[in-house]
Amino acid sequence: MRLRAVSLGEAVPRETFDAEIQSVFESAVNLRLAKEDRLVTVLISDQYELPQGIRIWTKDLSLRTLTPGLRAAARGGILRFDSSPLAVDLRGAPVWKCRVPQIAADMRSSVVIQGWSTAWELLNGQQRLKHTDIVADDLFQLDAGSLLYQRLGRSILQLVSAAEEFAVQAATRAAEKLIGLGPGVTPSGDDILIGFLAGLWSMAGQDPVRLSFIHSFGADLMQLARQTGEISRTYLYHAAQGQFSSRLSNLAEAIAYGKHVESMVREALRVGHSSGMDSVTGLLIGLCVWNNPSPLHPFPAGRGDGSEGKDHLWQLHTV
Amino acid sequence: MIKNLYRDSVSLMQFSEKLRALEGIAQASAVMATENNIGLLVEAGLLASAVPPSPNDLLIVVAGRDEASTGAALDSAEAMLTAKAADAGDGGVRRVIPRSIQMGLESMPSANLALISTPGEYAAAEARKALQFGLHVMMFSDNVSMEEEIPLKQYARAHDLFVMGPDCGTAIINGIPLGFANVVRRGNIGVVAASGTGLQQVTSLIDRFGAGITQAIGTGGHDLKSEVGGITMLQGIEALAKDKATRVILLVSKPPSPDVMWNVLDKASKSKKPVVVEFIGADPQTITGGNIHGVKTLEDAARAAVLLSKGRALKRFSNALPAKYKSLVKPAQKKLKKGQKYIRGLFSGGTFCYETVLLLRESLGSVYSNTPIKKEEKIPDVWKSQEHTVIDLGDDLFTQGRPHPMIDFRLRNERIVQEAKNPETAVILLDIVLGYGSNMDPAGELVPAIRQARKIAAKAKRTIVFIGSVCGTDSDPQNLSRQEARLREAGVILTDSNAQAARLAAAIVS
Repeated sequence: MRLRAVSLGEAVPRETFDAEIQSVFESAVNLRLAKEDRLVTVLISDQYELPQGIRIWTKDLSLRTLTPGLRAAARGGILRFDSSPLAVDLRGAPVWKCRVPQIAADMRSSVVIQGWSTAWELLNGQQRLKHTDIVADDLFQLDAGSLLYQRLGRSILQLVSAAEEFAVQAATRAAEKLIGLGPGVTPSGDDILIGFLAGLWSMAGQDPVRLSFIHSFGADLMQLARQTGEISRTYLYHAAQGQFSSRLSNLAEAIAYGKHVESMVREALRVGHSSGMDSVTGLLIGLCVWNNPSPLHPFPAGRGDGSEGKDHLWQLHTV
Repeated sequence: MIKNLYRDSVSLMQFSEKLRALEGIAQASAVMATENNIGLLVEAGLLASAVPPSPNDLLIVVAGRDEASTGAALDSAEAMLTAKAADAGDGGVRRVIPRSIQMGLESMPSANLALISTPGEYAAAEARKALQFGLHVMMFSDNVSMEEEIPLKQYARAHDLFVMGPDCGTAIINGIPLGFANVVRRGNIGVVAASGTGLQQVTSLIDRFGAGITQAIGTGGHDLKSEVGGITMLQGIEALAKDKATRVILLVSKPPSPDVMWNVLDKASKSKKPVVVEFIGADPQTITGGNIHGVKTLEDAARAAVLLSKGRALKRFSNALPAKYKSLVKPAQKKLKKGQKYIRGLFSGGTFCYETVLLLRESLGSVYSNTPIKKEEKIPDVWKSQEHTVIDLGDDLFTQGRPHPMIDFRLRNERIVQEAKNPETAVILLDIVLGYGSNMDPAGELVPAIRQARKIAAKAKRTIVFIGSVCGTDSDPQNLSRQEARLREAGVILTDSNAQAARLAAAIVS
């Protein structure tokens, strides 16, 4: 059975590569590229794009017929799998590229603030409705909640403080506490970091100080990513370079341009059990880092340094 | 620790829940064996000491009453994750049939519509949940009060979502038939209808006339009442106006409340697309103007939409019986005895029944029905016909404790036989509805009853004229052509539409 790729993520080799099947899901299969520490993902979807994605679209195929550990190889633009009749024609497929680094969101704009507030409200509503481990509103109630909550909350606050001050080493120390932390195949801490980077990239524009911070922090993060699983690592690798899934990048654009925010939030929240919600949490927090003097200020006065008290609860000021 | 084992996060969550439910287990967790997760588990007291991290492996931790319980839990965890059960599509984690909207969404995260078909008392709560999850809703359920319907629709509108229904029997979204719906070709006509069988009739006829539809949105029967304000119909018009694939919009409903009608027509006039409006029973001339084209029957609505969709000018549709049916009138009349003078309409579709009553009244005067046009024409005993009688067998009165007559033909078949015994019966008028949800062989159900009715009449030296129309397409599971052929074989005169069947019946008894 030969299928034509509908699109290819920018990071997918075009013509020739060797790989091993790393993991298999119902509608996605991860391939570990030979001699490289990253994955490419063949996924069945009508619209979901990934920087590392080879997107195919069919209703009649389960990728579970493929077996982890077996080889896959592309020659002349045709991807084939050992012991499987499936082949994917990569030739001529359009290349999808995430546009987050071009967004240059202005967080002082009332349109953006409105979009952010809508997204925040929907995110929290969904998290409460689904009884997920993390609810963004409660994340910074540092004296309450589970150990996981407290670790996440404190580390995120430290990360925010460091990013505000463009302190790369401090940001890396905070990120180290988040890497691989929490439930899920891509642990919550990783998803939050990926979303956080999407928020920073969305606001960087051409600002050299911001871009310098993101590049340095991203390089450190790629080192830290060895402490988490391969799937997370691949997403973090692309996030460091400003490349994210279409659901996350569409949401970032929707907030920045004030269009279709509600539907894009819903799309982004529907990734996995909680991965989508965790990465949207990261995105929305990331968008608030360099927003001064925007009235958006979702963080308590203390920044995880022990100074926060009961008066410093999570506050969300919007216009 | 299980090496190189990847499960999607939904499966991992279900797996952890299963472990927690085991006898003697207080806590269970399945996480990736990263340094930070191990540290967290040590701090929480779930691991006695740190183990070497291995981020690509799955770490399963259980805390329980005693070693026997935890040992058994770990054994079953490993068995669940490593063994591929025969019916497990998820590598050993058994697929759970969704028992809630949330579970459904987890197994199908890209879904954006929930179809609610529960007893009425639970439907509103389920619809609310679905909306909160960001899903559009089709409420197939009936018996939902307007007090419940209104806030649901208001919430949906505020969040750019649709609530189709309650009591929405039919919709076709992105080519997918929902509820009772026909398999029709895709095209450039968008439909919004407050009537299930009305929607089926226009979409089937559009298909028969060689065109197709983009979306067919059901609103539910209450939508155009003043209290609800036509929320779904207005949303539907707006959505179709924005939809690039839709060239023509077609609206179907009984006449709305006057205030709602004004809003609907106002919205339609602003759509900048041709809009065909069939407010069944309303005078088309009072509706027509600008881009809005009022029509009188469901068939005219389909014809008008098809003409406009092909860029052709609209013609005025005639109320007269087409020539191909006129030739059938005299031969049928010759078969009738002197005392046979009444029509007995036995309908499964509410809108077909209503349209028939309207058309028969134009030439025959009073028509008795359980859905009468005038109060004084309400039939006193629904089980017994008098003069011209047209019955909607889908009325709640007939469906309590039994399936809808589109599915279960027993009640209609009994009534056919009953009408055949009546010496005043001249014509038995029927609708036959195909498509998903309906009986898989309506002709097979009806023909024995028709034959029995003929025998009864023949014994009394009478002949009964059977007239009907089949609503459906050749792509429907029942196949229109096959169903029509079998009904014609049984002597049923078939017309292309419900309106033509009513007009032919009226011409025969006039």
